[in-house]
Amino acid sequence: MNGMFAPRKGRTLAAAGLAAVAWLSIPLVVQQPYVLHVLILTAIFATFAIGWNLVTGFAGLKTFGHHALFAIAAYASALLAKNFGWSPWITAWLGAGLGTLVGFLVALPALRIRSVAHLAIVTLAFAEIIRILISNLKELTRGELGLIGIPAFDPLFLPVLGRVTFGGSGRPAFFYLASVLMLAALASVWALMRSRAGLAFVALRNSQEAAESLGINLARYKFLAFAASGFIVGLSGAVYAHYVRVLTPHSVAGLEVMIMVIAMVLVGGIGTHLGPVVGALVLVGGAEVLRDVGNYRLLLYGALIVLATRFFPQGIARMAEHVRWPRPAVLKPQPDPERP
Amino acid sequence: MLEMRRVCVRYGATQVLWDIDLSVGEGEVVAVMGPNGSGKSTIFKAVMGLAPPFAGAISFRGEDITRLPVERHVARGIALVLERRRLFPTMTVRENVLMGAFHAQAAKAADETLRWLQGLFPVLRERGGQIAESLSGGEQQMVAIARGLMSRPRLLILDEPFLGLAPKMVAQVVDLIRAVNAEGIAVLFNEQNVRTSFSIADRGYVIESGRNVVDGTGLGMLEHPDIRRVYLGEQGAAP
Repeated sequence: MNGMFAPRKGRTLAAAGLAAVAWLSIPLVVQQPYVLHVLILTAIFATFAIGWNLVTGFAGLKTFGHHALFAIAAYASALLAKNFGWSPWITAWLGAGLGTLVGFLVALPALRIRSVAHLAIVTLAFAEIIRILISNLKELTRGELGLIGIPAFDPLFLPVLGRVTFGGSGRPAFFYLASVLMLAALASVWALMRSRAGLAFVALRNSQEAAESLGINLARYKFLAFAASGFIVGLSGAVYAHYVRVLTPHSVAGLEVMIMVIAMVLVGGIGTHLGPVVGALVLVGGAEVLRDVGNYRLLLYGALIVLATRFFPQGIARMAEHVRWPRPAVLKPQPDPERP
Repeated sequence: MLEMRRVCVRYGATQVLWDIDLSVGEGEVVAVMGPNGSGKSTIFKAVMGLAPPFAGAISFRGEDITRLPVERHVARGIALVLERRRLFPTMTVRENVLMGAFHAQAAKAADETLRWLQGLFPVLRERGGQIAESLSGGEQQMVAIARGLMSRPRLLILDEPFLGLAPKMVAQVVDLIRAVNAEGIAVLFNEQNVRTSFSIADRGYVIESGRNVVDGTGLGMLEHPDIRRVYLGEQGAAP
């Protein structure tokens, strides 16, 4: 399978590295807690979007129930930390593990159902069941009253920096935690897509029949896509829980959450690596700018989805590749003085 | 090499094949003929493991393969090129072809196999970097056949290889099948046109409504009363 896809040009890698460094140096320039808060939410939801984009964008399995995985991991990590006093550093992984398991479960119908509409409805219904469960298990989750008093990540003692705290005023630290999460998710998906599994995903998306006829084990790769995606989404859910430290069924398992992530991926560029990040920047940032719009936010997401699919179906990330960036004047071809 | 004995297949509650018998010898070219919807494609899917029979047996080179999963069929040397090509539209021609060597065994020899195929298929050399969906139907068929050959099969199965192709392209695909067969690879294919079929096939089977009707070795089959009934609807020849 060597050389099936030519290695990325060094320039692209360098650009990616530069972008990562630029992102990570934001807190050196900007210290307003509000701006950092928006960027933290951006990174967390970008991670969610990266996970969903893996299964839907890259492997082409249209699932609309990933907010259930986000919610399950968030509640699981929060409850384990709150009720048993376990460290969120451990419960977050347990939450992500649960997300992976539930991802497996959601993959089961995807093994048989090849119709996009049917798979969409099944996964959507599954997520609604989870939301109603969370809402009704009042002894455990406090239902619609919301789960409060979720512990923050414990302080870390790092070599050079000393004691680093993640609660309340420790926003720069949380910015780095969320950014590491997002960059790790980006890098993992990138590596996965360059492996044999990635080829199988693209083949699945292109034509399940053809992939199957070539002897690609569809079940194995569907399970892999859902599990890997469930892990990433679960981890983002757990980190979210210990960041906002209040969970309600609606805030994590509401359909609105899924619609927002779908809008992110579509606006940013479905099936691209950077699309989910670009989309999260636009939508989380946009949502904060449009705070006053309040209840009309869903309407805006809907309008954005329609506009994106109509006018730039490949998303902003793909569009940027085709833009002719303005060239410095000296490089522009000079008009020939001999000709009128 | 390939033996199907009394194979029955159903999709859900609907039975589509009844007691199909069919065989392909080493290096042989065999055609399956019959009207639309007679079950020709399903026979191929049964051989490949995509539509496992509920009764009957299929063996390949002396080994029972009736209920093996598709990837085992590929590993044992059977390749299926689906109807209407079914290329991966967003991949390049080269990527499409290399996907045929997805299996570990085939992947090891991928470079060598690709060189061999580039000799056989000029389109791979000329258009390797092009996106598959930008090719013409005939070119896509060539690429699909090349993709099937990447797993180094001993039996290549082609489902409707001439469907929707211009006459000139049909002739090219015919030449290609001959060239593939000259490399010692057995070919099993289906085609409604009996004359086209026998321009390459050593033997042929006629299938109607999921059942064997006749089999034979040449255009002489055309004289068989059952063929005249199936193809020409001649009432006089009906049993």
